[in-house]
Amino acid sequence: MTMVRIRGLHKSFGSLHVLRGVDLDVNRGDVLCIIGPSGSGKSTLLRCTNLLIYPDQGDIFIEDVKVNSREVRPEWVRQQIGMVFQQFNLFTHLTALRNVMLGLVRVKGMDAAAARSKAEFELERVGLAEKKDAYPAQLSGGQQQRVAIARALAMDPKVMLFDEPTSALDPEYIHEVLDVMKRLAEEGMTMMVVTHEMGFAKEVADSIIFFNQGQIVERGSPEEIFDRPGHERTKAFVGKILR
Amino acid sequence: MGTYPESGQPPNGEGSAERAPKSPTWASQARGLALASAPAALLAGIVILIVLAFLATLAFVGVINAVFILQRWPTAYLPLWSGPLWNSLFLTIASYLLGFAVAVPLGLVRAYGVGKTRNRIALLFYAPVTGYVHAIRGTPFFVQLWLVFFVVIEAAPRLNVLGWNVYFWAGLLALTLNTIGYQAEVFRGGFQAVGQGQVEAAKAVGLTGPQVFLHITLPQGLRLITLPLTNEFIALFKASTIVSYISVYELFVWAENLGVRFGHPIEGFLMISLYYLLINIPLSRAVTYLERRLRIPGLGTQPGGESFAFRFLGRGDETRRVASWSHAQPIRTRSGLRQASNGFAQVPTRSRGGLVPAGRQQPRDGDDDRPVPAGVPATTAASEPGLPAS
Ligand SMILES: Nc1ncnc2c1ncn2[C@@H]1O[C@H](COP(=O)(O)OP(=O)(O)OP(=O)(O)O)[C@@H](O)[C@H]1O
Ligand SMILES: [Mg+2]
Repeated sequence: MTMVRIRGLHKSFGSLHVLRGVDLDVNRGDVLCIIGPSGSGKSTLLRCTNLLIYPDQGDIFIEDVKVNSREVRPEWVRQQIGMVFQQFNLFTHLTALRNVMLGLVRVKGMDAAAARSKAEFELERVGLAEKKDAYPAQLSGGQQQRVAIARALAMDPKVMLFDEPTSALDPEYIHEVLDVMKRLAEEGMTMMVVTHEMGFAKEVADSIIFFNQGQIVERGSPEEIFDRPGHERTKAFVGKILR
Repeated sequence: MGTYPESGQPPNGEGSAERAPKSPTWASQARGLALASAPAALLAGIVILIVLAFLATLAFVGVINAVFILQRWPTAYLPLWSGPLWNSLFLTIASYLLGFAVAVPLGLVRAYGVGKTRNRIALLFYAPVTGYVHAIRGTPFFVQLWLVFFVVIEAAPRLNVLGWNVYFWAGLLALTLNTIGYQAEVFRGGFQAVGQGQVEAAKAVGLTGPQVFLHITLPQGLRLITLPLTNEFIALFKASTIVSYISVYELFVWAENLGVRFGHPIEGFLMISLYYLLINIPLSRAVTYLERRLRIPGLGTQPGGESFAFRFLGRGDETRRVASWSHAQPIRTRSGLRQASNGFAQVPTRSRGGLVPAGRQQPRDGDDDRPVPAGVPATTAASEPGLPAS
């Protein structure tokens, strides 16, 4: 079953045509990795998917519900799509626990006690149970990113979007975040991951998209994309990042 | 994996926290005076002694009449609920709170009416609000006061509501309109200093726009602007002396009367100076204390080492902040991220107006260069020049 279906997506910022007709399907439980040069529109694609920005043209379906329509509240859509950012974006004034609880209380309407135990459970899942009372500034980058993942997971999303989740991390912390993501994939989470961690993509991805200038150049299994890419552009890009 | 307490903070933060316990005993303060900050404390002590000695000398030679001061002391605040001290405080507090309520939405408009992620409603009001803020900040309060006064007098010469006459209302209105302009800019700076990434993350979780404001932008913004908001209160309190010009009976008029009626201008102005100090210094100390108690790691200014002398003078944090402003530059943290070493450091790059959250940097126009009372058109009901000096 298709979890995310995107058809004919276009988005411009002023005169800059960033997304130029994107068609995309992600099946339930699949992990899709998106690679591509800087400025090609990868982040814009993810941000359209959870309606942080609205596309100019085209349709987005989550479980066959068209979400970019006037009848659908964007908050309802975003609640079902977890997003993890390159810069973590934890709420500075809240502890790890409260970061995770905020959405549970304010969006899901849970009472404080239930939200707390749910949040503790999610922090436990990412291995940060004992850090629940720490403020973001007291955590390492890797720990912050895992709290961010817990914050997204707590909302029980149908899809998780990751926008270069390890690019801002020191090398020593990358693996702990990737491990959490791998486990998530094994548990059957549907994921769209913008990443240049080729090891992760090879091991976890069901398919990989090479994205360039607002369009999908090519889609295939990790072997197809990395070992025998069909397009010259893909070959050149893969050659550059695998070196 | 290791933990990094307070990563992203300058190293001096922790050490000084040990040196300065929460409630220092007199013994430890004395030790601090003797050891850590001896030169500064000595200097402070000398300055205070010189001032006291100067005042004592003036009293001794008869320039200051100490007996008169002691006799007149209570009349500044008795009766408590209508005396000049009360009027000064009431005008300040009322206009500050009214201004606060209006300035929050205006600050929002200013913060979100421009830029990539501008909001449609904020955009609608952006031009008029910006015009208002510029008008208030660009003209002397003294002029604003007279403008408001004449407009109110024209519109409702016999205004008398809640027992306050038209002069009082005009003064309150002028102060409120003025502080709105300044506070709006403080709020704008605070709101803009809250990272856009966090706003986006909150939306991604499913919070609505108002929820994002209530739970992310406002709590963080307020913590970042406690200092400029306090500064604004103090500036407003001092500016409230200016409404004496439109016959509002507050501290300044009271002191002026002492001079005119009894020939004791120095005593009067010394006494009200003390009143202003007695309120402003504890207030800023209390805010600094609260700020420290409620401080969140990674948000706002860092606790720094401050000497006993500066604490004693109530200047510690301001002095330190100026210092930390000057080297507020991004530092490399363990996470490899570039973070500001001070919560405000992000602001200068975001706002077009420069270091906005520092608030009012200069005294209000008209604050300092007010001419001596002589020759001023009948400002006070009680100025009866015929009375002999005592
Ligand atoms: N809100 C915005 N307003 C104007 N231009 C934007 C906005 N967001 C993105 N852009 C522009 O759109 C283009 C694509 O941006 P996007 O962030 O999607 O690229 P990306 O593929 O994620 O790149 P990177 O690998 O650097 O993150 C860039 O040129 C960017 O400057
Ligand atoms: Mg990007």
